[in-house]
Amino acid sequence: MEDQLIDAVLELNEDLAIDIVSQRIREGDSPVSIISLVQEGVNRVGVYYNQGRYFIADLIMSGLIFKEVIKLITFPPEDSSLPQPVKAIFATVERDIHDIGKNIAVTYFNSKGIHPVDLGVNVPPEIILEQVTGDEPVVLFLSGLITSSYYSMKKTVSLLKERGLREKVVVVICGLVDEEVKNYVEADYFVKDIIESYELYVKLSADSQKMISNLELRRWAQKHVGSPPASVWQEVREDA
Amino acid sequence: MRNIILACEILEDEIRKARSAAENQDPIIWIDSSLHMFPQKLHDKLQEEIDRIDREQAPENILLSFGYCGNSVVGLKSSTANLIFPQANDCIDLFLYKNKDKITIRSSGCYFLTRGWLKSQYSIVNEYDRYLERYGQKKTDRIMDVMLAHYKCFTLLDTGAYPVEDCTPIALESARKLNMQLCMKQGSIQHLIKLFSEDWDEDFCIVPPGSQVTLDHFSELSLSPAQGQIL
Repeated sequence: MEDQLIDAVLELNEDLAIDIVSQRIREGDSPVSIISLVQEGVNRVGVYYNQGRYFIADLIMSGLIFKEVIKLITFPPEDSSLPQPVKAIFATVERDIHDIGKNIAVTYFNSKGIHPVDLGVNVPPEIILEQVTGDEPVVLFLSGLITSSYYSMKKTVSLLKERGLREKVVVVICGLVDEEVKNYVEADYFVKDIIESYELYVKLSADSQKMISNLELRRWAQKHVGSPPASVWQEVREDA
Repeated sequence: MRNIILACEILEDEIRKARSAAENQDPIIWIDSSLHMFPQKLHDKLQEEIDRIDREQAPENILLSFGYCGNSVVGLKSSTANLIFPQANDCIDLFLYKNKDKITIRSSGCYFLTRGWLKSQYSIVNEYDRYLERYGQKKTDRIMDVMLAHYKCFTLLDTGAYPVEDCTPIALESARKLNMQLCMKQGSIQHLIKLFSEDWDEDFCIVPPGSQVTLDHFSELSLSPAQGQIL
């Protein structure tokens, strides 16, 4: 995909990116298409970083451009009225203070009319669990960059289990994570970028009735036949 | 051959001192510390070296003077040697070995420095100068506000492996440029000395030939909470 806006972001030219976005808003381009192009630029900055062509500051700059662009855009109401929005919680977990990606994600969610609870950085599991109240499902985004954050994520999931709350929480890990970390933490999903986070959230939220049904099914099964293997529920969860 | 050492060059001062204290004569292969910026590349480089060592030298043990370093060591495997490495999140953990105040120190918003880190082309102050050139003062300030948002001070770790007084002026200058305070903490190279002395107790992971390093090898890290920059 080639576009002037992608190039402006890739070149980290904030002023030009803002000018192009402003012009396209005036011309009636859709907010989603504009944001997708900016995200593509941000993704390419990430590729350059991985190739050693860009530095951390450049990654941060691309995030700052993303945040500035979002401020200019008004999303249509249909984007901000998901069926039965599910509560979303963001936290950089205990022992970690890296929150650049998390903050951009929260900004993006807010721009889309979803207002997640942002618990900040270095958040202990107990504080996270205080937000998991009532019976409604929750999508919990746990973010971390340093190694010890994985343990904190795992501890949070363990505490959810201990308190009988695991079944109503979809745990999504973000940051420097991969499939192996997801398995270690016993999370449900891992995501690598902001749009992926949002799209996953939208999917889960749109299927919230199914989530609730699965929740009821799991409760019934636990009551009548004990806990089934985790893999079974993973399938159910992925199906949801 | 009994041991070969794979070592991060940013720890050169500390590794040389620890090897000397341990009277260690094992061959050493230095790994480019800039690879820390790219954990997958660091992983690939480490595996490449391990494979080469397996083929050409086949020692009993490969000693990794690395911490966990952003997942870089997960998945490493030697077909012929034990992989032995300290239980540490990163080199800050290595240098705060057995420090009873480690949790407090690491939770207090310290951005750690040693001579090795200050000399690195990727040091915070060198990066700052690069950003200034590229983005100008205003944008650089915005970037640094994000980058250092949760840090309160630069902390120069005196590991005993370099003359700390020689580094104080540049550390002070870095702190001044970035509007940070500078403080000093005593560090230690005892963990490295144990690595090079083959004193491999519960503070080390030993992964036998044919097995991969997994996240579970670091489960003990739960006992040593950490917080700080990725190194």
